[in-house]
Amino acid sequence: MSAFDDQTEVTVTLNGSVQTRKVNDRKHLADFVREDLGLTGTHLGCEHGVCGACGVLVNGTLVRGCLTFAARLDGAAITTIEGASDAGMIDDIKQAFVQHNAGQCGFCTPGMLLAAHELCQQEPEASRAEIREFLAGNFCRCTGYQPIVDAIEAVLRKRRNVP
Amino acid sequence: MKAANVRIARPATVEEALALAAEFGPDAKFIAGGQSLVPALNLRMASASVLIDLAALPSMKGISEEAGQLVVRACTTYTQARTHPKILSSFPLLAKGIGHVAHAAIRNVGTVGGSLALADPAAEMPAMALALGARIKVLGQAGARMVEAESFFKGLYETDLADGEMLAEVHWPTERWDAWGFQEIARRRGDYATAGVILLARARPEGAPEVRICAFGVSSRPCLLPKTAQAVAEAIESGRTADDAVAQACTELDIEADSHTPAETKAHLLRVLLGREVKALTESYRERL
Repeated sequence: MSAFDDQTEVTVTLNGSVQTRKVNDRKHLADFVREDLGLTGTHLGCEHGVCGACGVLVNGTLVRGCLTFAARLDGAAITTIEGASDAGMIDDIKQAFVQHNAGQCGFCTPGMLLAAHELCQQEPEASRAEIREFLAGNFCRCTGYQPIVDAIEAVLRKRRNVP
Repeated sequence: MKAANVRIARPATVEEALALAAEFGPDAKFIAGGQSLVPALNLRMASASVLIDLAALPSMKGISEEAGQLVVRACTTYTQARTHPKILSSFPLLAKGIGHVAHAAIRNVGTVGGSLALADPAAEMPAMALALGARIKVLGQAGARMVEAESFFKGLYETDLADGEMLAEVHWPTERWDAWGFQEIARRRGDYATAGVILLARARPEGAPEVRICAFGVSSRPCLLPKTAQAVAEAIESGRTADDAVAQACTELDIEADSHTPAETKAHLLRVLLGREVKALTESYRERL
């Protein structure tokens, strides 16, 4: 039995730039971006898929970083919260979060922002009740959720007014 | 918590995948979306020395219509299924039920086939396969076989899949139903069902309608309730109340507690959900007359 973990070489487009790394097969995507790529905006809360803090975009769609083995992502486009923010993908969502006081400690916030982004893509007509149901996959210990829902409601309203 | 060391093997073909499963035996597990398997590995409640990656196989993805059936390949994600035009137009029950599965991030990766192969008794997908009379295509080194959903789900996390066999496709019959209902109670949106009921009904040329009832989350596997369904159909057709049929429903299956909910509570919830479905069906039946 080998003393070392099984590894795979993966080439990914990370936040727009091509990166090749050797990664332990058992390492999940959240640990990969945090430890191997130095991007610590993706957070770990539960490591079994319920808290939503580990959200990452893979090929444009939201996934759980803790439930994705990085070794399976050869050829994928990965966008972390840093990349989404730098690329201007979530400017209006960030602004609404600030305006509505939707962040306190900030631990859930990257996951919430990406969940909001995913909601805008999948359910742009969502009602307040549907926003709340969509966000059931993201836990927050600080805000009591209302300001987060308020912020997202405001974003959807504003986006719908764009001709 | 982190998963223990495991090797992820990427077969290029289904044959290679089956050969790997035969070579490594019980030490190997197929991985599709991994949205149930990876948390189990992370929590070290499951173990494997090899994961056989199916999601990269192109023949394992996609939805098509073949010989009057809708064929959903095993590694189709919940999101892909839920938004597919054929599912939206012809299988509104599936679109509704999939919306109750977990959360968007998990639906984007988790697969239809993976859910059926795991056979969690509180999962929505196995219940819908049973309710709609789906057939499952199983591949092994010896060849392919088709299994009716009624024969596929045997018990708690137990299916008809033999060692080394892979769930490849789900075939959904395209016959129409006049009425359908899906009810689920869970502590939070996206949780596994504490109790769930699916009801389907269609008129016959003469006599009582055909009714099908499936209960899930209340036993070791999803269960059809044909006696209850027949009693409900007859009550509706003769204009009597179906209350007795609903009250007796729990005698038709073995209700089992789980780690969160005692059996008595599950039985009560089953009667409540079934009562709602039957009431809705009765009213819509009266309106049609």
